[in-house]
Amino acid sequence: MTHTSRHAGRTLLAVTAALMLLLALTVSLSLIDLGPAGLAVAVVIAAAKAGVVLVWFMSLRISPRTYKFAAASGLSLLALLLCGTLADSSVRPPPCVGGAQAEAASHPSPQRGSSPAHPRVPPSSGGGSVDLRRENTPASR
Amino acid sequence: MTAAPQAVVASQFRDAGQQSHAARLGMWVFLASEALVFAVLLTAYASLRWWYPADFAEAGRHLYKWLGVANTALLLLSSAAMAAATERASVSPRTTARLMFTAAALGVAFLAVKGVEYTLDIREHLLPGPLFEPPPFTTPGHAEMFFLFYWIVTALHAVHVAIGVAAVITIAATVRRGRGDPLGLENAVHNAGLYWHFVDVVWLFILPLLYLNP
Repeated sequence: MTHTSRHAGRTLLAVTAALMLLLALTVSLSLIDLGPAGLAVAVVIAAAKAGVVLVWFMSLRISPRTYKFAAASGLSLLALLLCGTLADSSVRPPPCVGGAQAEAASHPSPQRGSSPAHPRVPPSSGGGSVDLRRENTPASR
Repeated sequence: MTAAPQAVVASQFRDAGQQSHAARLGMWVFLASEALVFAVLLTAYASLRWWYPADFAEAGRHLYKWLGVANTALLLLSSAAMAAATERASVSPRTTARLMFTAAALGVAFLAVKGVEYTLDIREHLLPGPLFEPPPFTTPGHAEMFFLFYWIVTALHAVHVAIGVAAVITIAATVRRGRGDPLGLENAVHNAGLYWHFVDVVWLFILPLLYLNP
């Protein structure tokens, strides 16, 4: 085995160990209730793992700029889609979901959608069906 | 004695380097578009989770978290094997083939675990449809939506893994036979590797979004 391949093998082992440590970290953190921050922390750790895979396993660190550009364009469109959609849905009342009405009325849960500021449309006759129609209130505009 | 197969550069390329570059760039563009397929699903999921955070977290607690974690470890190990295979592609075809078969075997193990998980989910009536029973402490419609996303996203991912396993096994078998165009094969090994790692990356995000709930 040449010196170069030994070096590459060691790097690969170190990268795999780092990925396993990050997995252990995110699983350990999921055992603790961090509230809403828990999901954000878990997604950040996932992004770190994905970064390691992209840079080392997918060799982006030593790739020509054209590959990096293709990867970046995909990620930019993804970010645009996610941010644009969430910016919109975060200021809208949630869609009404069939079957949810009675439950929500009988015991109010800490859902964002169950606040009285966003009254729901009564569910359609089919139990369990999803009704994505929006009510015509000023809050929904 | 037969001569070793020679690299054949396709007529539209100047040299072998340009052909490899085109092959890999094409794969990167394909993966960017694939990322958007999953992005659409995960964005819709994010919106719904924003609206119904407590129900989605509660429904997520009914998934088999440790099977999800085990599957993450399997995919990370298979990615490592695949990275080692591409590292050796131009040096030792025999080692490359062996490492690719290892990666594919880990992929099959992933699918087996997923199959066990799906069976347990169906037994617990967590498949949206007429037999669906919402888990306790969840609003029925919201829980069903969570499980609808769970099934669609994980099944689409499993289809990607299955395609990856088939591609990796086919390419590894050709590499081991030592026949065919070496340049084309080396490009195929690298591109199969890129695809395999991409499927791993998608799962890395599925894990926290669906499984990791305290």
